[in-house]
Amino acid sequence: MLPNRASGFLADVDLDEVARSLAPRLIAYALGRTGCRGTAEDIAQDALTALVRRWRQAGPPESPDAFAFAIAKRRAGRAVLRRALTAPLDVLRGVARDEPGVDRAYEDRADLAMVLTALRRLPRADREALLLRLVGDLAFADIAVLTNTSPAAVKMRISRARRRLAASLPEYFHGRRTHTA
Amino acid sequence: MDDERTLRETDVRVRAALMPDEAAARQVVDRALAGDRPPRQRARQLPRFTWALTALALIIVSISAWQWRRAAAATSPASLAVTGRGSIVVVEHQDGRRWVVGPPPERRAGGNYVIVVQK
Repeated sequence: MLPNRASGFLADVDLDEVARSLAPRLIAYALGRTGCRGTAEDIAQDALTALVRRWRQAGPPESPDAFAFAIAKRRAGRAVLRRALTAPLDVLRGVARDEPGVDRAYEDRADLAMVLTALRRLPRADREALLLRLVGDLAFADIAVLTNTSPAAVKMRISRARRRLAASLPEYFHGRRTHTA
Repeated sequence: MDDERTLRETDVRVRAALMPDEAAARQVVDRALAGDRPPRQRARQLPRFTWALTALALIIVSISAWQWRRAAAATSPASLAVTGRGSIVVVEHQDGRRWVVGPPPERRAGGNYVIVVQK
């Protein structure tokens, strides 16, 4: 008997490929949102685990990318909120010293720190759309569904965010170089 | 033209900075396919200390609020005394002020008048 989608064998092969293609994009997206690589990997794994479960129980979703990114988007939002809430407690407990912030943790990776700083300067909605497009490789229509806007608005946001990012990156880089020189 | 090139270079730079290494991505995929929960997430859950601190703070706030309400109720006696005298109600304040509330006085029935004109 030839394997087909319903038999599960082919579905698992597809799932493997989809998961491998999604993982780096999910991590990159979550890193852009949270600024923490560990949290980003957790978020990506959460989203992929949910996709795997859904795929095995009820078959592949209509758009696996949109499915996984919708979960990653929610998780990233929660992670950012959780960090904002627990940051004062962490400082009290002295945990903040063990878990350095983005700038300190990636001191040796200046480009990442610069990119994250430039991303943080963007308005939240613009940053969200840009990350979903740039590192998530999602279609405009999928981004529009995820961000509750129209594809035209998404295009506009992304275009604006790209221009701002391009303008702010070299500026910051120059400032840093002149400062450290 | 240059503008578009700059934008593309920025895109590449952002992607390069954010994209993880292959090993990290593979590890995430393997764990997800195995159905594992992220290990760091378990470790990063709020520790007992934090929960205890939060619970303690909540208890203190609740007790304080309860005590404050009790004290407020005890220290605020009725500042107005209302007494009724027939159809008149008299309201007396602690500081001595008094208000008398009653029906409007009845109008007197009209009398007879005699007009005397001197001739």
